[in-house]
Amino acid sequence: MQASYQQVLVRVCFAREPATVDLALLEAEKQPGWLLYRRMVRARLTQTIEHAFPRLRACVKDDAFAVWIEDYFAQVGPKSVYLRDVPGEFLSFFESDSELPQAPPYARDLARLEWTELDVAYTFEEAGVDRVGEFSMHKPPVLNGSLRVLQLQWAVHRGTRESPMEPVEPGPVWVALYRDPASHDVRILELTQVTGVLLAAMQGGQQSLTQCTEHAAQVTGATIDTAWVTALTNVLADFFDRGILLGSSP
Amino acid sequence: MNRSIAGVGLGLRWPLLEDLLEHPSAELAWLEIAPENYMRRGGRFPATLETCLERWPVVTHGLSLSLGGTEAPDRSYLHTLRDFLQRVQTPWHSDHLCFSIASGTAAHDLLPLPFSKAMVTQVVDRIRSAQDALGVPIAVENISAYVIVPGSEMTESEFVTEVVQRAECQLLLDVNNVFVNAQNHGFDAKTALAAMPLDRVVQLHMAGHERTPEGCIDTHAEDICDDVFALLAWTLQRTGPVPILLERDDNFPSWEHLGREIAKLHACWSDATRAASVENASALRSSF
Repeated sequence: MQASYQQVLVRVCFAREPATVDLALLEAEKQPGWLLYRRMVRARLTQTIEHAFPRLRACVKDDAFAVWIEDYFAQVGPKSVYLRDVPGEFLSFFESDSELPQAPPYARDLARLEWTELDVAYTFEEAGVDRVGEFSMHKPPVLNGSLRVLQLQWAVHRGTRESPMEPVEPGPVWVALYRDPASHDVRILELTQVTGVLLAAMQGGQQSLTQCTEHAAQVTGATIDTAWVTALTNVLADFFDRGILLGSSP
Repeated sequence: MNRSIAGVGLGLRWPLLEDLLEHPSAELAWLEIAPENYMRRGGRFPATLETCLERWPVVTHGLSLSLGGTEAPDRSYLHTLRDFLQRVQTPWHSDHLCFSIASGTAAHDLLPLPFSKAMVTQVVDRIRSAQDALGVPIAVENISAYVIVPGSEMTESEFVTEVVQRAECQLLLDVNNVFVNAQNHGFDAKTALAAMPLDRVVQLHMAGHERTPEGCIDTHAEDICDDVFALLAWTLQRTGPVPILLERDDNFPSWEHLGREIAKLHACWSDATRAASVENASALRSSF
């Protein structure tokens, strides 16, 4: 009985239109307050999603963004008990839609980037001191737990919320996002292809740094020569300075 | 630092943070935080919480226990919550007499329960389990409700009393919620408050509401009205000087304005403290 009532109310809140039979079960004709719950639940979640994707929302046609949220509510709905997870759940739903006629071709990349910015700001994945040993090329590297590496088809990261860059240039392009350990600000770095492949390999956490660099050279067709080693040294030093590279596995 | 919770506290909200840290009100004695805003979260949020913990004692007020829910609580959530409560040394943890999850869908809102005997039994079981799992006393809060759920067999005050007594837990009494419900459902707020288990009140919530054509809405986005202040004074005469929390979640006024509201609440709490002292002194004299 209780389960049934609770399921009915949640259906009323999330359905595209509340079913007449559900409203009758709640005696909604006598108590219009039921529809207030529907509006409050949807308003809070909509606000949370809109706040997470301001640029995506601005770049789509008409009311497409509102329709996606409607679809998300009706077909999936929030699962996590943490409100801040809702935009990520919405993104998974959004990405599963194969056709987005109301959106520009870079919409998926933009959505991924905007969510990743929030994810990096919030993430609690921190490398404990016991997980970080002295730096060695022969051991797997340990990276800042907030680091995310994205390969994008469009250079959506070159615009900002305040000044979106139009037109968005086609890629592909590699981007790293990380949380500055001192200020907690999210930083975005545009990477060369070889640095992107290298950093993605380093994130795996299994291969030694030497193996990661060999992999990056192989994938990008680069020759490991003196110039390459010098460039690698500079990149790794920069990653250390930024707090992206913390050391190696003990 | 004395970590006891007494006097007036403020619900920690991000837009208030800068003023709170730079111009703390002298009358502000403690903070209330929503654990879900800090659990499984890195970066600026836990760093800021650490700063606050150095300056104020903290009590936790959760949103996700879904005490009236029929689905088993998420074990991972409970485990993380237990660790968090221990870390911030909260003297009790409160959550709402509501459900917020059904069919695996999280509404992220406080949905109302039927005031029935079956629901009392269910909620009591959940509170006891939560108390065991979390290792701190649980306080339950009466919510604002915009409907009477079909199947209700008793008043809200009777429901709350039975839950609190059978679960042997504490009550976080939201005075504004009683007022809002009284306005929307046409009953007398004082009568409802008098029927609450006032001997179990460990904390009070005070907030503003908004009057709309649909009724009174508990928005936490307005100043506390005079009627609710009057109810607070009336309640404090019966509970004694329990800690009072100001909830402000939206439509934030200036920090000075909020400070005046905190000062007003503090005056109510001080009056109750003085009244309790006089009562204690009278009791002492009569025992001679």
